[in-house]
Amino acid sequence: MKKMKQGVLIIAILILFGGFCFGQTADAIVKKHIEAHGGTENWGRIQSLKISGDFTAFSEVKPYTEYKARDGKFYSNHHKGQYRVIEGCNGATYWVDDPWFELGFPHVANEAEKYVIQQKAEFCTPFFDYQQKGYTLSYEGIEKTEGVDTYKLELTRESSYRETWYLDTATYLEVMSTSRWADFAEPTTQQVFYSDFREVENIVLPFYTERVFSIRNRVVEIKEVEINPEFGAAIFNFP
Amino acid sequence: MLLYQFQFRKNGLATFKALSIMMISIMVLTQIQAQNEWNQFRGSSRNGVVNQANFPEIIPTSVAEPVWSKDIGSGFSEVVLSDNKAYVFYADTLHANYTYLAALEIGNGEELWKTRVDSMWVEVDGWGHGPRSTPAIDDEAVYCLSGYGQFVAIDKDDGSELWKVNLPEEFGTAILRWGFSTSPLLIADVVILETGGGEKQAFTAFDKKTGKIVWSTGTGMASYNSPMVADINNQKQIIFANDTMLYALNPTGALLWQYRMPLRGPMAMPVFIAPNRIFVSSVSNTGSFVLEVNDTIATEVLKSPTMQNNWSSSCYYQGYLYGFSKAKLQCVSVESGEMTWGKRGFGKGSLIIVGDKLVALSDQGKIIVTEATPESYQEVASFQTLTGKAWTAPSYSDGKLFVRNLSKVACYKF
Repeated sequence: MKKMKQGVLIIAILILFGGFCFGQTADAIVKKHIEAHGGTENWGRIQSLKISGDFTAFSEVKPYTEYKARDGKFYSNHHKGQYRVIEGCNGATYWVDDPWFELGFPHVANEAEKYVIQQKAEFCTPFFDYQQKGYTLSYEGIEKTEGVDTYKLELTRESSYRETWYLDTATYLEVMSTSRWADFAEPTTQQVFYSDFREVENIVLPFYTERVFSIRNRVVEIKEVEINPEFGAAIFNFP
Repeated sequence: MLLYQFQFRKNGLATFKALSIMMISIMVLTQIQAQNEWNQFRGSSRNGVVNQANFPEIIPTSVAEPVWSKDIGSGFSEVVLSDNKAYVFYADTLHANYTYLAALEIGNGEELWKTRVDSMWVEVDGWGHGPRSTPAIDDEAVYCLSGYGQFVAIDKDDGSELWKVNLPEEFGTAILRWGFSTSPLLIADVVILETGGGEKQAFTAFDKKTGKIVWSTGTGMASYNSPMVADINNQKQIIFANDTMLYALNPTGALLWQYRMPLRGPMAMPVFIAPNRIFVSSVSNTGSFVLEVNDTIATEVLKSPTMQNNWSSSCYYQGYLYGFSKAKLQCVSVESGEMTWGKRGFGKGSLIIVGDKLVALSDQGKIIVTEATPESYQEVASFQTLTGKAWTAPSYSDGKLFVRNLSKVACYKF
């Protein structure tokens, strides 16, 4: 009887404080994750980024450039196979200029494409200021991912879209994430694999990213990162 | 007289024995030579595996210099090898814009002859122009299929055209978006193709000498898949994976069994797992399945999402399948379907097995040699070959490795 009472007590404690403990753990993990990426202070001084390198689609390696600015502004210029594709967002309008659609002109992004651009526009990972952005987070335990132990985190965006992130338990850097994506403007799911983390002016970025969705894989290899570069903000606008 | 008869019998027996040994030796040598040739799609055994006891000790590292390389033009057909010649099937995008079959001296790449087969297959999506199908070679001819469906037999010695059949004209076959891709299969006196001409014209055997139709059967459009052949239950079976169906025919075209696949439109060729299993994979969430064939009953014994082959076929070796699941090189148990190891970073590559080693080619032309073991990814060597998109699996014969891309072919000592 005494043992039963003790058991009930332990279960009650776990029920009462389990969520709290998990919440604490999620925040603690995110805090170390941000530190591993260079820390809040270093990221706080960044207003914009220019990232350039190689983008591989359909096994063809071609140069790409993207600009990111605060407030979710984004511009990307890359090639998917034989065609040059441009995407952007000025903080209000999300747009895509993709000759694969055979439109001959840019179009305002649909819901699936909009979420793609929102994910690309993140300054590194979505965990920075996640509460201010209206995202919620839960810690789901430790899982083996790509051969390493990882913290599994479920992130829910304001839009209610959910993402799962797997952070290396040793480094707190991301190993893999899964989320909604778009293939020819149709919703699909993706897996993203992150590696080759390098420091640039006190911030840390994955220089090799492989994205797998539908039957496709896309590789981004960063060659150069410019912090707070000068450029005309008009590039973010719908052409 | 008795003595003479005795001596004759004795000498005759010895001569008979000697002749028998010589004949067997010739047969064995011929067999070994044939096995060492890469004379059709996926090699002489049509499974991407070269049974070789000893893997070469000298493997190039870092940047390897080819024995020779040559500008040829565009195409995805494997380099086929026979009688010290390398045959390349390509579209001459540099000069004439036609599709050619060329015979090259295997030792130095010198062109011996080239024969125009068809106009250049023009790729609308930009993946790459030129032929997709890999030719097959027998003692006398090379059989090749262009992107537009021109099926041609060419004398392997002098390059003269022996016969040709235009599939769209003969069978009313619709031309596929990415071109005819099926690779011909040689069995006895016939050469077999997916012809996709509709009712009773899906699969066809042509007389090797004349190109005349020997039999034609089945229903279904032409696919991007190639027929596999296997000896199952003491019966030679030709397996076609066409759209949602798997068909097994005997060499006279009679249907042995059929099976509705749990996936659609696999491009990777099915893999035979002796004595009676067949592995099929596609780049879909279903991934792959394994059938067991007993008499004429095919039963699904495994379905697993772990291996999702796109166009590159897996290789089977000692209980495990090795292949590219989308863009990840993997080892998967054929019993459980579980992945034992996986390695990213090679894009949508291709692979063959030589001896006890995997020889993988990344989609950027890098060769990676690893142990063919389920234990872990164990890289032995790697080196860059031709740069640029490489979607064609390497070919191997007698210490020479051949790679091609959309402009060049190269030979490496291996």
